Amino acid sequence: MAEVRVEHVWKFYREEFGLGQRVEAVKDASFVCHDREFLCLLGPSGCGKTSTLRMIAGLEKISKGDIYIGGRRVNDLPPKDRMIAMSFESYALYPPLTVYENIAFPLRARKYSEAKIREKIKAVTELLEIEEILHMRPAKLSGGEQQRVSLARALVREDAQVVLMDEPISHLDAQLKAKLRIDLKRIQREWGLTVIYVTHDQLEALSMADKVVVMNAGEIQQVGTPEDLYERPANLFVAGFIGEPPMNFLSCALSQEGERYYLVSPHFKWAIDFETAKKMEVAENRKNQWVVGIRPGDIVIGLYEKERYCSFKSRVKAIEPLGEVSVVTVNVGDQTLLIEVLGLPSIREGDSVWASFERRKMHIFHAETGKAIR
Amino acid sequence: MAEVELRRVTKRYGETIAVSDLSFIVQSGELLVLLGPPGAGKSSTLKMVAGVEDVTSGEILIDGEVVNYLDPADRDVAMAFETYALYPHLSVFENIAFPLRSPRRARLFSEDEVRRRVLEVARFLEIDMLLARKPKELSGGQRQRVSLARCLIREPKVFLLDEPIAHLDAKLRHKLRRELKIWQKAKSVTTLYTTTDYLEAFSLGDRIAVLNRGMLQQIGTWNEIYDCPANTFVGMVVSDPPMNYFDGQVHSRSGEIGMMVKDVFFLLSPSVRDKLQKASLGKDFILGVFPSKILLQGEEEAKDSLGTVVEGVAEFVELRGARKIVFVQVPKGLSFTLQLPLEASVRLGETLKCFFPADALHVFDKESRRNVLFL
Repeated sequence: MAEVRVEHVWKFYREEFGLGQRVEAVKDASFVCHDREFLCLLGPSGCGKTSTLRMIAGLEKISKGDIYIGGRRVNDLPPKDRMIAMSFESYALYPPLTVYENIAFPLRARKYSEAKIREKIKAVTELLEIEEILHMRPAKLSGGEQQRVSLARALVREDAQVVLMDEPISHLDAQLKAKLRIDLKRIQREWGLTVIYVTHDQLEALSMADKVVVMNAGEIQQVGTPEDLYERPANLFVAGFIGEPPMNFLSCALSQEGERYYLVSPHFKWAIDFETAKKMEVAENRKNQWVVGIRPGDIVIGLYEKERYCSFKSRVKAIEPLGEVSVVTVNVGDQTLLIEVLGLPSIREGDSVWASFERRKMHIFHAETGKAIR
Repeated sequence: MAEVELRRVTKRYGETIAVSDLSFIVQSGELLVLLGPPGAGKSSTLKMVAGVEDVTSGEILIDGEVVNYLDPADRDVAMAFETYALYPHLSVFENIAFPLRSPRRARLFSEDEVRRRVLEVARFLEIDMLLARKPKELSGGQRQRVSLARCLIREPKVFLLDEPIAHLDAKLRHKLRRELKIWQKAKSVTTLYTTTDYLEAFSLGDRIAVLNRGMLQQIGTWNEIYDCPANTFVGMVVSDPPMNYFDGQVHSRSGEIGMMVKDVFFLLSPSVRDKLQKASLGKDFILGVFPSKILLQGEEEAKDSLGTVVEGVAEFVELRGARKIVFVQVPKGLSFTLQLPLEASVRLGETLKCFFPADALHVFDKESRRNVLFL
């Protein structure tokens, strides 16, 4: 396996119906996927993640910039010479071949012995639970089964420098998805695979990736470990995209009273430390508009205001039980907040409650640029 | 508002039994979720209630009236199909408005009222900017929302929603999950809803019916099911990661009845002990525990409760937002997953003292795989 380097890569499309304006699908993307690393390209549909992957695969031309696989610049190499294995959302199985032959195909092309082929296929089909359909043809399979066959075909390749996957488990049911997430991660570790994996599902990215590249509107928003993204989101987009239920946002302004600094709004007034206030002052924000972000799991609900916590009064709108936790929706003025509590809370819809959180759990963002204050 | 009742309903397609002897009642205004893997019989059940599939045997009642032989149009139900079934030549607006314009209701709604209702439901489902488009110009997720909108725009006796948000992006799905519930409660229309996702089921369902291979496994509120899963299948589908299962035997140690798994003796809750008693000694059973119920020793809850400590090595840690999933391997061959808060610091290879509270342990019969409390 090998390292993949993406350096200042752009992708332009000429718009078909417009005034010849170019559409920028990927804007100046740079990141490195190290050898044996599991990297996720994460973002909503249309963010440029699939275009990026297709440029690495060689299925799309690179408009500008360079891509290196194992130190070799691959811009001008056709896909077959890039030493990559692929499993894409459209399965691209060979209809006349059985499942077994479909998976064996890349191995036969590389002149593996029959015994070796059998051994590889046994391992990968057990893992993906498709042993029982090996004799069937693709037309007879469900979408989920086809997806697993496509995945198996990508995983058996030993000579590949990198395995590229585009939403490989998105069509599967929740149960199987949960199982495959764990198994894929295991196999990636045990076989020492370098994987670049595209998904729109933050849970898939957080649970499998060593490194996540978050994209939106063609631009990379943040590159980091799952913990980085969750605990230190770089901007409002990442903060809102990572985590489920999503982070809550409240608008406010910074105010100074003597030596003390506060975040204020019609619904709250929270003291913040001097250091944070200074960082906010140097971040140019003439309108003094800020956004406070708080994760639903960092808020506690009570009948009284909690001392030394940041608190606000709110009204319970809905309670959503999710097994070991419940999500409580509350209203603060005209804003809606989500709060995650353990078990089932002893409150009812319509109740008036105090919501509180520790000051260190607070994320502060510049309302206009979206950038986090760190 | 209407009550829906299924009485011993069976559906066969040739040799295949899709739904087997299914009975339940959906109360007026209730949202009942049918939860199960693909092929469990969820869609077939919905289609029989809608009247688009015949019932092989048994009866379906809406408001006390047997509807087996009523045409779909005469049942006053609205169904959102998984396959969307949109009119390709009509705009999104006209597709959604369609049910309001059908000949039976034409006189009921003015054009202004139709417009108001279409906009309301389109805004709710975030498709209000797509109203002028034709279905072929939409993505799969957008089509699914149009299909759902067309269903929700009416106020029929019963909503039948077949995996209505399954094909949406995770973010939107979770948001709509919360909002659908508020919508359904506000309209208080009796609803049957299918999903393969237990969180969706817990979140939306007033009650949940777990199905497998056409058969009802358990029906109840989410906490009834979560507190006491009826069999090993239910334990598997209502938790992610699924319930941990261990093969073991019932043993007695200093007069106390418990479960022996490998060489670990697990203490059980009084209700389970009463059920097992002496007659079960030495016999094989399955022990089950949800990953979220296993605690790290030292966590406050562990202090005064009855339970068993097992030491194991953290083999693998998976981050899931606010939670961490840890795969633990015990040297003697036992392995299990547990769920911890994000703050819990666990290093790979570290030895963990895991506390299994007695009242979180479920015991299942080895043969029938049923919870002994249900036997």
